[in-house]
Amino acid sequence: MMSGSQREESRRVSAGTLRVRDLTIVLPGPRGMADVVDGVSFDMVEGRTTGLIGESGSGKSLTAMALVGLIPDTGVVRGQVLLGDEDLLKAGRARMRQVRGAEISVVFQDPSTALNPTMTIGDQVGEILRERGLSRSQARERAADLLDHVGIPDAAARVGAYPHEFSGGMRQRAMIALALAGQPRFILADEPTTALDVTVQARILDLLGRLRDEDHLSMLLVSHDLRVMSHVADDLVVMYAGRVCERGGAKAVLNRPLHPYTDALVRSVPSVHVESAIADPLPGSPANPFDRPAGCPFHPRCPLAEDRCRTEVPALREIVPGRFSACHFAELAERTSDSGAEELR
Amino acid sequence: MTAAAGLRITDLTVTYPGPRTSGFGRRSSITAVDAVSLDVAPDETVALVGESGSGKSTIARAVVGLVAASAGSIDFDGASLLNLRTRDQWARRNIAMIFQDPRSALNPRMSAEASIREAWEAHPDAAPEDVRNDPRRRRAAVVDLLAQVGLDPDVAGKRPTALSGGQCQRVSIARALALSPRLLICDEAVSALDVSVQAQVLQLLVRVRAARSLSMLFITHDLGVVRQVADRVAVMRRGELVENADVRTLFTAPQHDYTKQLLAAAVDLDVRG
Repeated sequence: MMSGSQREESRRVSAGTLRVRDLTIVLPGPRGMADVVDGVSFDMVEGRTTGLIGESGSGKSLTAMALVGLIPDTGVVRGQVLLGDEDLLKAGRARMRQVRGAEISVVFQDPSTALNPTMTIGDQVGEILRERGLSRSQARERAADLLDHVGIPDAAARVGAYPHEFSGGMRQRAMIALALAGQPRFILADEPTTALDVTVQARILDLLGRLRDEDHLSMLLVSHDLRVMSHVADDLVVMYAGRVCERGGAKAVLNRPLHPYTDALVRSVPSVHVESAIADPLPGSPANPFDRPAGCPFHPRCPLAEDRCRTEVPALREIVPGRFSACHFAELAERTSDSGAEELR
Repeated sequence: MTAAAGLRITDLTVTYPGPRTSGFGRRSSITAVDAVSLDVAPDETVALVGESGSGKSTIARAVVGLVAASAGSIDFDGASLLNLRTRDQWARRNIAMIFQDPRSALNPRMSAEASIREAWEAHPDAAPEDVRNDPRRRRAAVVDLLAQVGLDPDVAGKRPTALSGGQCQRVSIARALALSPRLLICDEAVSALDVSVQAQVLQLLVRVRAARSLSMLFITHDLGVVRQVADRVAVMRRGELVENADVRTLFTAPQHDYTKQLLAAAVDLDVRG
């Protein structure tokens, strides 16, 4: 057993990065237990925003929830989530309660349901500080600082306000202040701007970027919105049917996808600022992870699929330095890349 | 003057009762739509854009009679949609609405076929003649509608829970088309769909609109989708229509400050290094 101070020491050594290794989540489904997240690995690197992108059934939100121990008791989680040398999947409930808020905070999609409607904003933001022994007035003062830090005007006067007195954008800022209160190094943001109007969305994304830089946070942004991702993410993890199909630097991945699914996603985003035709749609719907197709799960919708894809699960391979793809034909896409993509790598 | 074809909204105002200021005080009222005039011609797709609370969905609801107009008029092919006495089957069958969440728009206990048949049973006057005269033709007509929205015949027997989100939205569209509408109102009809499925449904809506010469009122917050499907764009802000222009003009030379703000805030996929 490590003493508290030893553990503190070991965490300091390499705790800037959260490493997810071979994460597998098994949940009960209509036909028994199924590995709805299957062998997911990636790093949340210090000071960077990692984008976790996917459609329904991709397992992106489950993956994020597993990092903070919020998988339902009916499920089984395997693999490793390494915070320094500590595997959070082996941590007990008490330790995980400590981790949440103090090491890793979560910002949820809908601030109006994530905040407690019967408590003032200030009391909610200050709650974790009071648990740490600050007095009520000290906590309130610090809460006002935090609300100010996330861009809430006249913060000192608004610590006493209730969530319903805030607009949607202001509530999301308050939610972010709450997430920052315990001074975590990692923030998981699950669709943080999806419920917001576009003009508000832009400001919240700016705020998250500023906090990452000023507070040296590592951020995991979970979203289905490629437009948002392309502006905020430094690294990108693309998930399909519970598996990673592509991973790499965000700009490089979006500029020259090395997986046909990523390619289809990029093409299907309608452009606002230039005229574009409706993309040739992919056939079918995203695969159901409870009923994952054999071989490559994307093969029923893939324009490149051959016999091999129907039987052989493609491994996630490093195609060029720092760029991983789980497609048997990833080299094909790589070879057709132009010199522009060469520079982006 | 001949009656205008298509949808004509003139000076439409919709007010909702607001919060009571005191126990005995009169309710204040909130003006959700303030003197809005808007036309949708046959064969035309008009997009209605604006942020939440701008009144765009309220306009759609007023057109289909889900909320009452406080003032103004709504006419379709020259006949008023507001006066209850003239609000007969003829008007109803010509207007169909598709909602954001196809799962909650469809009855969870009903198969796709039952949902479509229900539309015919509720509005027998609007059912196609062969279906009305010969109930045995109904099965074939259902299969035909499903084929028009790109669904296999075996979907007919399935309930919404057995279908994907995209398939449910196709069933909603088939149900809307069952009554041969002339005006289709799409209220965030692709917003809840996965991006790889969204293009399928957009393509379907554009094809159906062209094949049937429909008028389409397309409500969305996604300006990229607007640019792909709309002929004209009306921008709403706090209940008022602030700009109404053809799609190219609106995106390349917006006039109103709010339109400029909306366009500036809308980000595109950024793939530059």
